[in-house]
This record gives sequence, structure tokens and C-alpha cells, in this order.
Amino acid sequence: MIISEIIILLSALFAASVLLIYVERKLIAAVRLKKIARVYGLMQPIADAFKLFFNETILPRGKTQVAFMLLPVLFFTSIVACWAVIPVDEGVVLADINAGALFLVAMFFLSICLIVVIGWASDSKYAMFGALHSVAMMVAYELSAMLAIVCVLISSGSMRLSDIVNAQAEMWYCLPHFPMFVVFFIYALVRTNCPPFRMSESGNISDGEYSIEYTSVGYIFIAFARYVNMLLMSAVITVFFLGGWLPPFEVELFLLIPSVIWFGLKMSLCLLIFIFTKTAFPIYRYDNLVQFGWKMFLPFSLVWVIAAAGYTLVSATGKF
Amino acid sequence: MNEALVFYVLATFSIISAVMVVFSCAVNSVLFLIMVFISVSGLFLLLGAEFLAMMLLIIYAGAFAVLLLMLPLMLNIKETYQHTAVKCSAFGVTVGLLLFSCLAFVLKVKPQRLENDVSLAVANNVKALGEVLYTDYAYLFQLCGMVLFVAIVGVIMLMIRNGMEIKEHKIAGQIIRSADEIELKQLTDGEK
Amino acid sequence: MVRAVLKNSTLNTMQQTAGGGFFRLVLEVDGENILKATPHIGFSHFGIEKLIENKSYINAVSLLNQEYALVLAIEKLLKIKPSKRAAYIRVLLAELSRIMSHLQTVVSIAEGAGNSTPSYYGAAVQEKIMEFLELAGGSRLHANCLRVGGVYNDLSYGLMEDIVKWLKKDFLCFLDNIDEKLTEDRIFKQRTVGIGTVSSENAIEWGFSGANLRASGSLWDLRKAQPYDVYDELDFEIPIGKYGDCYSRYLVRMAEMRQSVNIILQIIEKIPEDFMIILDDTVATDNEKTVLSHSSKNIDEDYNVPAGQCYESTEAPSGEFGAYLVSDGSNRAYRCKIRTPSFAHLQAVPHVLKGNKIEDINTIISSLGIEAGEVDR
Repeated sequence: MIISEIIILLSALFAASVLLIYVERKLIAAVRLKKIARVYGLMQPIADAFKLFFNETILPRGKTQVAFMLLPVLFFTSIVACWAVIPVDEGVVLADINAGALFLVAMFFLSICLIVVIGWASDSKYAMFGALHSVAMMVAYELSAMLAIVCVLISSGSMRLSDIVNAQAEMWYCLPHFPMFVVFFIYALVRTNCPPFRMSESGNISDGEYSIEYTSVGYIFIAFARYVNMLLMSAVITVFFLGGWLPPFEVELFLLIPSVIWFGLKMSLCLLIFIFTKTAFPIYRYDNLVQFGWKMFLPFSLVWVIAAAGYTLVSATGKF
Repeated sequence: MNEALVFYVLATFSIISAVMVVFSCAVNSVLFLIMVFISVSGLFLLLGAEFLAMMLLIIYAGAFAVLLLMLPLMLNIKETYQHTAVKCSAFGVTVGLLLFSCLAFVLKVKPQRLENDVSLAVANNVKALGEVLYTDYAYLFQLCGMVLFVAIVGVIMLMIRNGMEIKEHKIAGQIIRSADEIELKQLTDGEK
Repeated sequence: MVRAVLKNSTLNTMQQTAGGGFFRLVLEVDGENILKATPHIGFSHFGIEKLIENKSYINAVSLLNQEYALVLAIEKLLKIKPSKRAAYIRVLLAELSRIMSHLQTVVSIAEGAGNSTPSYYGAAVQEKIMEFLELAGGSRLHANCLRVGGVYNDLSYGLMEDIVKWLKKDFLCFLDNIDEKLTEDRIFKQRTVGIGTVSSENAIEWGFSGANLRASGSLWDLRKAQPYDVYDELDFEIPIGKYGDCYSRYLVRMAEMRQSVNIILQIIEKIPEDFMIILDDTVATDNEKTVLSHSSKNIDEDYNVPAGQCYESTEAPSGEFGAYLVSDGSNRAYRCKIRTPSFAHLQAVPHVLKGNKIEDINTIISSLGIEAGEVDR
């Protein structure tokens, strides 16, 4: 039944993001020479979760209260919903719909929209500033990322994600569409709030984040949504550019490994890069970042789309 | 039966939200507008027009609504907005009726044409739409692009404000700097 | 043509400085750009000047570099000088804490630019320096070892060798690492070059001193211009920046850390063996007449300082740190005024921040080396 499938998906996501939180902390601690708490630091996330659950819930006064309470759930849903169309293995997908790629894009846009509303509902200038920052940054890269997806769609000739993966049997799209792969990867960094493309963590309230007013369960939802989003972006990169569940070469040994494992390995590779960029780089200033997105990535992606379409047309029809 | 139920739920939902768009304050009305888009895209999905449904979500709920949200947030329009909405209701009703009659006219006069153009029977309705858009309506499509382009230029023009002291930085000039600029000097007796 | 009329919004922010103090910064912003910034201070005011006036000279202590000016001023009033070895030890400890302070500034610039990884590495290095200071003075953060007329005690056995070993092996390696990872980083340059520029003239007008002044291109260093203790016997150079922006200030501090290492290595070669701390409680015109300051007699019974007034300034890590003392001949200061560099630097903040972006506030304030605790005193 569909309900049981949804429950399985949600619990898998829950387990994966808890693992991700743990691994992220361990890696960042290793890079930053931090000492790790007892029992390999395993109790730390649990303690954090407890602390968050028993935090006092602080609500803004005024008429945005209902929206303030509802929005984290909606935000979480808009990100989890994307997982419905992501094929982890041949046929292992909640809904293998025709317009899977479009559904993903739609949900990306919807979550951006929700960030603005979260900023508004928080009823605070700092949250609003954070929301506007995040949205302006995401929108600046969103268009180029969508064009990157368009390139993949042109090459694969389908919008069904499982078809896109199967079309990469000969060559993963990260090779022919390498620049677009880079563009999409940077978009993923922007979306997952990894430096060099995000708000600073330097404790300055004036460039805080949109979730600044949330405490307790509301914050849990938003924080969790971020980790699910990290998982999601790595899965999307895997599906679009890294050949999904397909092994890198058609070697006997590789074929022995279950394809779900391949999917997981590729995802973990992306996640590792996300986590290490978090520790390694300073952060671009907002205006540089937006300029970079609009002035360099967008024109370049447009040119690449035309080139990809031209190449596909020529190779399909055999004439100019 | 199931589909009919979903249809009625979505349709009621969209109509209620559409009414609420008119009768609520600025930001809320935009939120209701987003709800309208989402429920209408659900209706499209029921019809099997996946492409249209997703496009509605992407363009309207995603991009357009973000812009609409920014307006009341930035310009601090509060109660006056509703006031003007009531004042301009005659205008609104006229435009609404005009649009409705246009739609009715098109549906009544040229249903045949529509059937031919966008055949919903085609499994891949992206392909169907693309074939129509890039052949029959290619010029109109390009014209739409031009209109949007002009709109972008207009927005940028509106937002450029002179007379502000903002420090500009050239990235090339920034990157060229290095630690070599530091000079090590001795303080001579004369300077003491 | 109709332009969009947008209201500027006012943000009320609490600005945290590198050392942990706070001041309030009211910003008038237009989108990202700061139109006006007004700092409000006084959150960590504890009235150190009044505290000093109400305590005997012997009890007035503070952080090492800050204490230094006060100690020099009292010595000047008493007309005494520390012995050579004590003076060398003082300079050694002052330079060690200069390294600590500059390190804090450098990593907080990096943190303001969004990379907080260096601050973890910096913390490890600072911890090591604090260990040395603890061995020298007995307490970790407030290296409590300067005394009027000398130092608390001789350096413990083997400490100097340890310092040299650590400086040569670990610390220089750490600096090279920072240079490699941060100084040449494109993003770091984009965040600091041309940000918060202070021209040489403006810097002098606003009363800048120390590394901030040198970053603007002025050649000025109190250690050279009016050498105190044994700075005139040491051979070191003054790093001068060119542009006076955050990047210059960062580079000057990096270079000064290397110079400090150089100074410490020289001290360890030149330091005389005889250990003598002087505190003359009779009339100290002759600095050869010495009494050990850690004899309990002198600690218990305060000493009187001859009436008079004087101003002594030292080159503290963030700039000129001065102490003005008026003595009426008793064992307490009649009036004490402390000139802190951060206070002068803070008054430039509204001008420097104007026209910059909100995200650069942290970088600019930490690159100016402003400490809220020092501003408020």
C-alpha cells in the first residue's frame, strides 16, 4: 500500500538524516581539532534533540501566529515531497511520474517561496533580512540550475527520472555536461547553505538566518528540513549527473554490488564534499554571490543549453 | 468516483481561496493566491496535463508569488491595500467579466482547433505542447519573451538609485593584492 | 521618472567583539548597504580608573600589555628602573601576549569573512601561549607578573628553551599555514580587500595608533619612537601596509607576529644571567640600589609614590595604550586616566562602516581590533 511505502520512506529519511548529523559533526570536529564528547559523541545529538524538545516555544504576537506555527511543517513537507519521485533503484520509487524532473523543480521553487513567508511570519526584521538574503541567493542560482536540468532533459529525451538514469548507461552526464554539473553542484551548495555560498555563522545577528525566531519544535522541523535537503540535493545530483544506481563501469565485480549501494555511495560522495566545503572556505559576500549567479552562470548556461540542443538535433537528424 | 471526489475537493478549495484573495490583507491574499495555484495545478494533474500543472507551480507559485510577496513586505502596504481593492471593485469586475467572455468565446468558437493543437491523448504532453508552441505560435512565443525582457529592464531601471554612497569593488583588483605589499621599515633617527 | 520610494530600515544589533565583549550598533540600512551606523557603548563598563584610584598602587593590575603602561608610569613617578633581566623578561612576556592578541584579531577577521576553522587552530596556539604565561606569572589569562620595578619572579627553569623550541617549530609553521590557506584565498581577499578603507590622513585625524595606523601607511611605532625598557637594544622592523583596508590590517598583524617572534628570539640570546628585581622603597634615584620585590615586607606594606604627574604610553597590540597618573604623595593615585586604543578606533567605526555592506561589519570591526571591554574600561 502507498501509506506503508510513505512510512518506510519517511523513516529511512529520518535515519539517514540522523546519521548525516552525526557524521557531519564528527568530520567538522576532526577538521577543527575539536574534542569529541564521550561514547564517540553518540549522545550529543540525542542531548541536543532533548534540549530542543523541551525548549520554550516562543511565538510572535499578532496575526502571523498561525502561519508561524504552520510554516515549518509546510517547509519540511515541500522538501520531503521531492523524495517521492527520486528513484533509488530500478523501480524503487514512490511515484515514477512522467514529469518527475518538473515536479522537483516545482518543489524547489515552492520551498523558496516558503522561506520568504517564514521570514514574514517571524515578524522580525532579522528573520526578514535573512529570508530575503537566502531567497535572493537561491533565485540567482535557481535559473542556471534549471537550465542545467534542461540540458540533461535534452540529452536524455525524457522527464521521467528513471528514464534519465537509464539513459546514462553509456556515459554519466557529468562528463559531457561537465560545466552544467559544476553549475548544479554550486546551486546545491547554495541550497544546502554550505560555504562559500551562504550566510556566515559568525554570530552577527544582522546577517542571521530566516529561522532565527524559531525555537523548540519549529526549529527542529527547519533544521531537519535542512538535513533532508542536503540528502535530497545529493540524490538529485546523483540522478541527474552521476548515473543514479548504475555502476561506473560494466564490470562483473561492480555488477555484484547491489545498485542501491551504488546510489548510496554516490550520494555520500556528494555529502562529503558538502561537509568539507563547510569547514574549508570563507563565505562570498552576498552581492558578489548574486552577481556571480546572474552575470556569469546564467548567460553561460543559456549558451550551453543552445549548444546541447544543437548537438542533439544534429546527431539525431544527421544534418545541420 | 475517487477522481470525482478529488476534483470536487480541489475545485471547492480553489474557489474558496480565490474569494479569500480578494477579501484578506496584503500578505495573506498572496498566500491564498498560492493556494489557488496549488489546487488548480492539482486539477491539471487530474486532467493528465502534468506539464501544465508543474509549470503553474513553478512559474506562478514559485517565481511570481515570491515577487508578489516581496511587494507588500517591502512597501509596507497594510490596510490601504484592501481599501483600494474595494474602491476599484467595479474595474475589477469589468476586467473579470471581459476575461471570462473571452474564454467563453474561445471555447465556444474554436474547440475544434484546440483539440487538434493540444491533444491530451498524447502520452508525453510536453512534446505536444512544444510542437504547438514552436511551430504555430513561434512568433507569439518570442514576443512573450521580449515583453518579459522589457519588464526585467524596467525593474532594474526602477531599482537603480543614484546619490547613495556605496563602495564598489573590482574583483580583479581585489584578487591581485598579495602579502607583498607589506614593507618592513626601520624608523630612522629623524622620524623619531 | 518615478523612482521606487523605499523606506530605510533601522536595525538594532548587538555587536560581539573578538574577545567576547559587546556593544550596541544601531544601523540604518538601505537593503544591504549601511547608510549610518551608530555605536552605543557602556555594556562592559567597570570603572577601572576609579578602581585604581581606590586601591593601593600594588593592587592595580590588569592584562599584561595594559598593565605595562601603568607600571611604567608608576616607575617614572618613583624614578626607578627595573634591572636588565627583569626588563628583558617584561618585553618577552609583552611580545608573547602581543602574538596572542594579534592571533585573536587575525582569526576573528577570518571568522568575520565566514571561515571559523582558523579560530579553532588559533585557539590551540593561544592555549600554548597562555601555558607559557601561566608558567611565568602563575595565572593563565591575566598573566599576573609585572610589578613596579620589575617582574613577579624569574622565569622558571627551562621555560625560555621551551618557548624558543615552540616558536621555531610549531608557531612559525602555523603562521605559514595560515598564510597559505587564508592570505592567498580568493574569497578571503574578496571579503577584505577594499573593505573598511581608512586613508592615512583620516587615520591620524581619528587618533588611530598601532597596527591600524601602520596599515594605512604611517610609519609609527612607540617601541621604536620612544623605546621603553629594552626595546632600543632589540633589532626589529616595522611592517607598513599600503591601503588601510581590512586586508592591509590583516597583513600588518601577520607580519608583526613574525617580528615578535624575531624579538623574542633576540631576547633569549641577549638576556643577562643575573636576576634582580628592584623595588626601591626609600628614594629610588639610584637604580643599582635594589630590593627584591617578592620579599613579603614590600607586598604587605604599600609604598608611597612622590607627588607629581606623568603620562606613559606603550605599544599595546591594538595601539597606543597610555596611563596618566597624578600622585599626591600617598600610596594611592589621586587621578588615573587610561587611554585605550580601541576607544579611538571605535569613533571611526561610523565613518568606516558607511557605504559598506551589512555582512562586512564583523570583518571591519574585528580587523580594527576593537575590544568592547577596552573601550568601556
